[in-house]
Amino acid sequence: MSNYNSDSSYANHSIRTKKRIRASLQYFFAALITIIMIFPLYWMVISSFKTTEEILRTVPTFWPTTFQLESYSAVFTQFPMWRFILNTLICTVSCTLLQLVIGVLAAYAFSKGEFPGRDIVFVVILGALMVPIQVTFIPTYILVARLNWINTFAGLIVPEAASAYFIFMLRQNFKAVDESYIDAGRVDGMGRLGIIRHVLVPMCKPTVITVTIIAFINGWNSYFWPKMVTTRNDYRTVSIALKEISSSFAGLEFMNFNKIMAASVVTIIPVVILFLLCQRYILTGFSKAAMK
Amino acid sequence: MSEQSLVKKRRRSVYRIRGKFFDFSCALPAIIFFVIFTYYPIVELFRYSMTDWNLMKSEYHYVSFKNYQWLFTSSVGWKRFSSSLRVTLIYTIADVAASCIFGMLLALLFDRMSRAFKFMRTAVILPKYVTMTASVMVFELLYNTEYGLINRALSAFKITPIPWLTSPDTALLSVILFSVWRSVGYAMMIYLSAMKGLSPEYFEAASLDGANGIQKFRYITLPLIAPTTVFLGVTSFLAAMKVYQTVELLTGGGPYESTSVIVYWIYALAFRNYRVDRASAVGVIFFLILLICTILTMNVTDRRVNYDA
Amino acid sequence: MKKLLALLLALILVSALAPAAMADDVVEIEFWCSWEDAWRSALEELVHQFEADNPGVKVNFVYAGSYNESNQKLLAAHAAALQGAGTVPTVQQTVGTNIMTFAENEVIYPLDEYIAANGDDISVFAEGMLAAYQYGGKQYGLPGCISLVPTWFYNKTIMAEEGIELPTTWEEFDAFLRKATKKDEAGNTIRYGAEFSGWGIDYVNPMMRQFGVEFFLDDAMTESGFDSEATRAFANQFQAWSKEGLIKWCYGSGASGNMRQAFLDGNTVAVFHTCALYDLYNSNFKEKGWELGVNFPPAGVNSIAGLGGSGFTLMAQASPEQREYGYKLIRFLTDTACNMIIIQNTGYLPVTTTCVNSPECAVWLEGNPELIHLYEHLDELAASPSSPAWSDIGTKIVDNLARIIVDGEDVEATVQFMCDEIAEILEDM
Repeated sequence: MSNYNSDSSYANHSIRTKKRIRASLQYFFAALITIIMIFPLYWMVISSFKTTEEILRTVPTFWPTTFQLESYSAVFTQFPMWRFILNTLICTVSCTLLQLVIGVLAAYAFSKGEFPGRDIVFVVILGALMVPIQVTFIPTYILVARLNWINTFAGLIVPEAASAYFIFMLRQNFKAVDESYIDAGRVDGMGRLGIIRHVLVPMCKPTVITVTIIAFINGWNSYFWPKMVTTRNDYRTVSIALKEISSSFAGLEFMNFNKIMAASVVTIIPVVILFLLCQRYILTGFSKAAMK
Repeated sequence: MSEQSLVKKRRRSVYRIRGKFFDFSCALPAIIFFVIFTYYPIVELFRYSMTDWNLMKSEYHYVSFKNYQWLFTSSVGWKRFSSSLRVTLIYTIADVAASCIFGMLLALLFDRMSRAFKFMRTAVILPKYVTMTASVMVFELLYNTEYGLINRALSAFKITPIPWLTSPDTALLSVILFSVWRSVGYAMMIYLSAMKGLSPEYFEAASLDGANGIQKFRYITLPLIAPTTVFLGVTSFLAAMKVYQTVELLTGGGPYESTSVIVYWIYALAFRNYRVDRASAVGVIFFLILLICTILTMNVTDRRVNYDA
Repeated sequence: MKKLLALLLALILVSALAPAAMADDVVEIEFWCSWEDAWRSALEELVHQFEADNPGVKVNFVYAGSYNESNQKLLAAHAAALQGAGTVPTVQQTVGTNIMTFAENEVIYPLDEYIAANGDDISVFAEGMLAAYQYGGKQYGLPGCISLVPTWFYNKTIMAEEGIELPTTWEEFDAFLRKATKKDEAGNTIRYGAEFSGWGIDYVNPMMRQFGVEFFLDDAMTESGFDSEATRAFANQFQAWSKEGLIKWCYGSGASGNMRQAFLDGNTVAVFHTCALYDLYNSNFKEKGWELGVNFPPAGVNSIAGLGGSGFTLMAQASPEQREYGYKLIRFLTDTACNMIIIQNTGYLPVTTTCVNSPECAVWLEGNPELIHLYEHLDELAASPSSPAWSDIGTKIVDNLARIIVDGEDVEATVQFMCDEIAEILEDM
């Protein structure tokens, strides 16, 4: 019996060591994968501070030996970066707001609303998820041209003012809200608009916020449509400007990656900041949408 | 029935009719939007596909199903269509499978409450939200055959440089690697929250039965998160089928058309070969393929919803 | 927060809908260029000069993206304009290979009536360059930003140090390669004799023609002449050089940048590239204390070099008043002052004899004497075939040549495969 006791304490000890080993292994592999995943972005940032000579070294350096900010000043002096950022902000903010308003209303109609043919109409709207803009580009362009919207903010914003994805995500959430809350709201004398504003949206707040953030980030990163409907700097957004900047610098010098990377960093900073600020919502909100 | 209750009833029905009207008008902006910016273009697309328009001529003729005939019966049309469909499917399946499998594995690995892990999770999800144009630029730098970091690292192990983006054997793989890099964190996040939602009771019961970690994963976690897998699979499948920008920016469809996915081909048909008629026909067929896929998957997801309830 | 957002939205809508104020009597024309470079602003300055000289016109000088992007936007705008919607640019910077398609489909408008009305003498333009912008006996554009492809750049300093002679024929080129290539003990090449721009059909096509390959057997461009001994001879020769490690055939995305860097690092003695990169190579060579040699590529069966770059065209969907000023703008852009800005910042060629004989050009040549080798031959440049099938055929040729030369695949089988594919494309048109 005494033998058994010592064995058990030994076993306890070994379980603890095992746990510790497992934890450290978990830390190790998680850290390894994080490094791999974040590496391209890290490389982008440090390359932008390197000199051209250092970028081309046969043995790459993982930290710039000399920090230089010339790449950034070159980007800002040769291109109206602030203008591009402002343009992108204008488009993205208005797109996001429109998507939010249209999306919330539609999500309500397709979840709690009642009208004939509701589900069929919903499927039809989901069908819009299927169509990539590159395929319907020509008719869409002609349509926008008819409205005289080429090279205007309206042309950039309106065709992206509603998102089937947004509606789908919100509808899934609204649907899961129990009817009793809505009845309670009705008893309190709320109209339907009131119910949307004071019951549905607050109850699904994480999803609403998440989808809004995602809409913003998508708008910021949007590339194809802005590229095709703008020809003037007054309307060019950062994502397409980046492409121009990169070919411009690539043509100017040899393997001019530091400046291209500097432009990339400038482009991604706003979204990265937004992501870091709102990551809490993104993490929880999505899970809710996926679970429902 | 008393008069009072009749009035009430009428009031309620008025409320309901007005309500229906209100509900419908809530959906109206979205409906109008999608009719104008999605369905009208599709109808136009179908019309173009019945003509011989080349985008430039002021007049064109209706040729009925000639372009569809070209697509399905001519050797060039069918060869290119099937090849681009094949590339798209390989890309889609690899992308979806890799992000689901690795997403799940990462979710298991990163499932630990601590500040360090919270930070690491954020880092893993971040690539998805970084402007794609910008991340493509870094990957071009990393993939570069002569000056890229990957090949330089490989050469330290005496491995000959791999032409990542310039060989038909590796180009599609490189594109897929890039997409998985972007999407795997998102999949991990979805799985993480799904796993968090699982009741701990199951696991306690399993522990009592003497199940080990792998068994618990196999017999409890995996079946319970199946709906999440379906959700993730369906949404990323539909997104991956439409891939265009990654290909345009990374490889331009080459080399040897090894990365010429269907949307890229459609676009090239219209603007490089000036065959809008044919491009439209392919576009219509592609739309139908996706629609069928969606209807099928909607059935699956609907069944899942019932099962949940 | 909410109020702020509402205000923002209102502001945006107002700014989006605000009409552009424009005086009635001023004709507004738009010029779409594809120069993404910093020196574009120098040209833009000159265009302000043009506006001052022509008070009735306002020029929107617009960067419309790369040639491909600019074309896609142009076609979309043209298609919309056909249905009475939107606007097209008045003048576009157009690549020569698009002229046939654009002219045939009336996307662009012939310049002849304006040339006649202004009494302009266009014989000052180099013959081959003018021809590249003609279709059906009409002049559809004027050359403005023309390059010689491929131009042969070589490292004069290395060649002088090692006593390597300049080859003038492809036979001599073999000897040149053997002298210029350096290998280590294991037999791996550490310095190539030459690197070739195998990624683009515009570079490959003139070299193939030097070997006697005829691209099309008829003027309608329906039958290709690829299935010939000349094609096989070309493929065999380059495959042999590549297998011996004497040359590097660059192919795929990023190839252009890598080739430039190799030349600058002294990892190759010569490159076949576009003369538009002259300034880039020259200024970097100067920094290193090297001397840059520039020449026509070695001549084989006949002396042929290709013509790359772009010219300026007038849009058919622009209004007659716009076109009138558009033509004036084209003349202005092809004039010596603008031409010299383009030349000096890049290495593009002078397009007129007026420019070649100008004092500005003489000064420029004094500082860049090597360019004389190119300027002597301006009239000999010939355009690439201009056919709607050309871009597809070009891709096939480039891909299959890379298979042969880079991957070392069987010449006979691959050439046969390529010819079948090209025949298929032509049949499909």
